Amino acid sequence: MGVVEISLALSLDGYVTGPHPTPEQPLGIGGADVIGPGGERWLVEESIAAAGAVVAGRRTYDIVDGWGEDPPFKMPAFVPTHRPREVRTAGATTFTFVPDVQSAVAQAKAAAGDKNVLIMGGASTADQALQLGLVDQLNLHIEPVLLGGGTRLFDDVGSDRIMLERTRLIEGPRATHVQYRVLR
Amino acid sequence: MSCSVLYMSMSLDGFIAGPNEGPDNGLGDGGDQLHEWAFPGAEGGDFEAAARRLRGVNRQVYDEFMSTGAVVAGRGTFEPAGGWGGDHHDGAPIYILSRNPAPDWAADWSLVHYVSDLDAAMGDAKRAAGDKNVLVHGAAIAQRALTAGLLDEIEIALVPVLFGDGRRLFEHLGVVQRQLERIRVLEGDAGVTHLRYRVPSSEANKKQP
Repeated sequence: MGVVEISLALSLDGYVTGPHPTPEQPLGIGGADVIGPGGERWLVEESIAAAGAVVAGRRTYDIVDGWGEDPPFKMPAFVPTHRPREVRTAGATTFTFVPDVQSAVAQAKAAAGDKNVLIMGGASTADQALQLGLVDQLNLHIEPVLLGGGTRLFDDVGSDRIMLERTRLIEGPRATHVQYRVLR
Repeated sequence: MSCSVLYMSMSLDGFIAGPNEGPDNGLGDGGDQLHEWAFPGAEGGDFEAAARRLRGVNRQVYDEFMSTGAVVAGRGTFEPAGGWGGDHHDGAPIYILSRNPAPDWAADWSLVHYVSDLDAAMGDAKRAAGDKNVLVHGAAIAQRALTAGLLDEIEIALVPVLFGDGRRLFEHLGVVQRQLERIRVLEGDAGVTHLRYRVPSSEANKKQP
């Protein structure tokens, strides 16, 4: 049985993008220089390889224009949105639009079988999934930078405390990679 | 040479105190959880005995901040903590940033200096500390020292919990990108990750793209 995992890079002050993300600058002003896998691409590949389905927020989907003609996931992807859209197939990735985060994670779990569900952002989708108690694991890549503004992860996870257990710590050349299990 | 080092315990979502902070609730609701790594099993309030039980990496970091040569904090940190009884550790001088003079209960403490100018306070603290580092503590002072370019290093004890609410450490910094240099990662017990960063001088940060 796979786990439901959030995997995101963030600044030390908790931002997953800089201010004003646009299709040209999906990580916001200055975000691309400081937030991302950098030399540790294998960690992202590890998360994708372990996943059987992806959940991506609608805003993220729109900002990156649906990851273009050949999205990197090559597996079923579920996008929560209030406005229904047709299923879209691009390369080996199929995007299914569903009404909310709860159903996105449920359908992704069914599609993933024994593999993981990868919640790859954005922050609002990740927060909702955490608040709904749907997340088993966090893989965070903490970049050595303070952004001072942008989109913050964990900004809306509810006021019930969520206890974690650190399960892995890797000191990358630049970022610090910490994996947590969500305790219930 | 003396470095100013911010030591803070922070939840994974960036809080250094729980909600509903007040004079009798200095760490906010449930805020003690952020400090349990330094005082394991301190129920009942014997913090010194709890600190003596520390081992390994958590011991190392605790010993580091308890061997600093001076303390700089804001009154919002100092006063709810009862002024640490007038001695944070080992007679190190304490500089409290405040627009007001010391309250009566702290006025006679010889180690405690109420100061209104952070730049001057940091200079005094570094001179007093000699070869030792200066312990900087508190969110408001951290924000002021960072924006004023007066902070040399940041040591975060990252605690494995999401608070969801409370007082944030990194706030009111302005939308300015500040590159840090990570200089140490230590894997502490109780899931605490100790992250140490050097804050390059503001000139160095301006040269970044």
